Amino acid sequence: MKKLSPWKLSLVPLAMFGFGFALIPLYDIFCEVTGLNGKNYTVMEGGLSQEEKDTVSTQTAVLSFLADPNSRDTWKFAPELNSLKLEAGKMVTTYYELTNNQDQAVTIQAVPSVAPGRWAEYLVKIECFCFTSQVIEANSSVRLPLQVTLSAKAPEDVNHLTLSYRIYQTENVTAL
Amino acid sequence: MSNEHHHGPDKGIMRWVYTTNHKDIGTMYLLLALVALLVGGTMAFVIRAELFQPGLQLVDPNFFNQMTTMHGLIMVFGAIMPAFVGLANWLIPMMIGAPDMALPRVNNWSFWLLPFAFGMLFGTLFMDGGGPNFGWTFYAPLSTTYAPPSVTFFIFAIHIMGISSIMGAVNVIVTIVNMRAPGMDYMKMPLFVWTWLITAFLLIAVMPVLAGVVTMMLMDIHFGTSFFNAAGGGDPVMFQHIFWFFGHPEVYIMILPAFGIVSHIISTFSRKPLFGYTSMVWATSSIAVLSFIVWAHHMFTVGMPLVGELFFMYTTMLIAVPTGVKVFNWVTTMFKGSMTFETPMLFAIAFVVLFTIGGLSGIMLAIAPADFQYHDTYFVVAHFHYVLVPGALFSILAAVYYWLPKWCGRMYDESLGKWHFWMSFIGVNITFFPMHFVGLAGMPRRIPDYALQFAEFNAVVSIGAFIFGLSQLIFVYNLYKTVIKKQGIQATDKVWDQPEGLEWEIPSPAPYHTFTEPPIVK
Repeated sequence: MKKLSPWKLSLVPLAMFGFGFALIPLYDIFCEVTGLNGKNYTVMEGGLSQEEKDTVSTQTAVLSFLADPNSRDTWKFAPELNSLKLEAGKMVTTYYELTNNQDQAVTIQAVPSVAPGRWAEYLVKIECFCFTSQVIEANSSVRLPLQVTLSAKAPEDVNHLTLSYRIYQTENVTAL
Repeated sequence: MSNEHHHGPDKGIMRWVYTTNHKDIGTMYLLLALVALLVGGTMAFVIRAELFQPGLQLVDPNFFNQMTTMHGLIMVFGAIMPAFVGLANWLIPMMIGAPDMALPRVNNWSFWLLPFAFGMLFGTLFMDGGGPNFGWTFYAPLSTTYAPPSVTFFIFAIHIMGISSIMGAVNVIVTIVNMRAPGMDYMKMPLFVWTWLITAFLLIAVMPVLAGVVTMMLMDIHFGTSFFNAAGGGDPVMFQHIFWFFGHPEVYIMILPAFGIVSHIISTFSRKPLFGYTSMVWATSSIAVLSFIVWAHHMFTVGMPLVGELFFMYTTMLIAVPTGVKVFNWVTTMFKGSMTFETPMLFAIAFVVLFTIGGLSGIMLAIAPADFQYHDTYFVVAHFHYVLVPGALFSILAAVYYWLPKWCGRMYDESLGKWHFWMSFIGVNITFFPMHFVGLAGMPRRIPDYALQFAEFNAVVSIGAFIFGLSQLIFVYNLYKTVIKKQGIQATDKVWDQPEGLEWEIPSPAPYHTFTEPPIVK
């Protein structure tokens, strides 16, 4: 009879230890495919792609803005506009305002989320304060810029999108 | 010289340090589990004493949180799991006709890692900032950003006990696959061996994932990664997904061996072969497979899409089918049996009834829309205590009463056993049944104080807890009387009336070395 080798069997726990870590990229892929978490918006730093420019569309959608300051923190955070109308291929710039009432400078990172998640890919961000972390000086307000448009590839039923930001204070964390 | 060496154990304390004998190691595991049960039980006493009345009386809320956390960790990883490993060590070689476990030295190491792991875990209570206070599920960021400094010791304790569990499970699998007596096919294996084989596969599949998740915590805390830190692109909900990918199979790790134990006991004391052996094996296997795809029913309220809620709701409910098969098989085994009600049988019958209550409240929790109401309330506490205390723990107590005469050669005191059973049975129900009501009425879990309308039920629960906890001392005294004082009548080799299994073919007490010549199984 062929005996089961404990060394061979030990490969199972070893592989499962790796699988535990593999779950992280697997969840990212899962979220990208399903649009869960509202993270799969399109990023086009430096302007629209040629493909976007070539597509002709008269699609419009209402974009609403939400601000979600972390309740443990002391700053004020709000969008300048509650909502605006997006036209396909036409870039709009708007601002969020953030006030740091503390006596020291803080580094913050904004984490965005788009709802509904399945339409998030049609929101095109050309510039966003969430791309990098921001230093806010003590007792000061800043206007944080955001440049977005609606993708020309958006199907007709895409008529509204909501963009929300949550602010996290960071210490030496590397932003993605 | 070399002949004598193999006749018996070494003398003195070094016997226990160096031993590679499955019976010695089994005994040590069971004693460790008993100590952990008493320590974890004392923590439950602190919790229930504080909750006896509304308001803050005895301990401050942070210490209360440390008690709920450590109570859970010690009971799960220190009491229930080592007790089952101890039973596996004692029984699996005797049941399959093997002389010992396949990897005796690994076996010794698996055990001796545990006192150090639990010493370190327990030691965190005396460190600056106190011990872990984030619940036994240690959700990030409570266990990372907001954790006490002792969390690093907690992480290493989990690592060490994880390594111990994995080595133990590898040992069990290799023993069962390679060392069965000639003629013992898989479908002739006793059910305890079957359930442990499946449990061991669950262990080697999910304990490494637990090790992975605590490693990620360690890296987030000390090495600046952001696995669970949203500011750095991570996600705290990810923690819950990975934790429960381990956590749900873990709850079956704590109950499948119990299914094996009660199958043996109910069959013996009904004087009938077990009804539906084959369906028991298949039911156990399907529960194990399903356990991997239901984890998110622990996190219905994190904000999942509807499809996710439905998927996890239906797969969870599906588990009720094989579990129902088992319950009906036990009932059918008893049906028209010539039943007697010795202590192990009483615990086994209580297991069937009370575990089923726990299973049914589990179905209520599986209903996603209803779970939004029940989530994080005492209803959940009632549910998992019903499956873990009169479930897993009762099966372990039943097993100790059932096989103790084989281990030590003497019968335990039957009337003390009955006292232990009835006090435990009454105590456990007074403790955990009212928790359903306060939970449905909205009392959250893990709080040191509560709204006034829950006062009466909480007082009742605390009284029940003291009855249940103190009645375990009857068990400890019974063990002392039987094993140390050697009172009680000599057990026969069969011990009970025609029990099935190879372990009853050897003398009582079981000699230090058994089945050095493999028996032939027909």
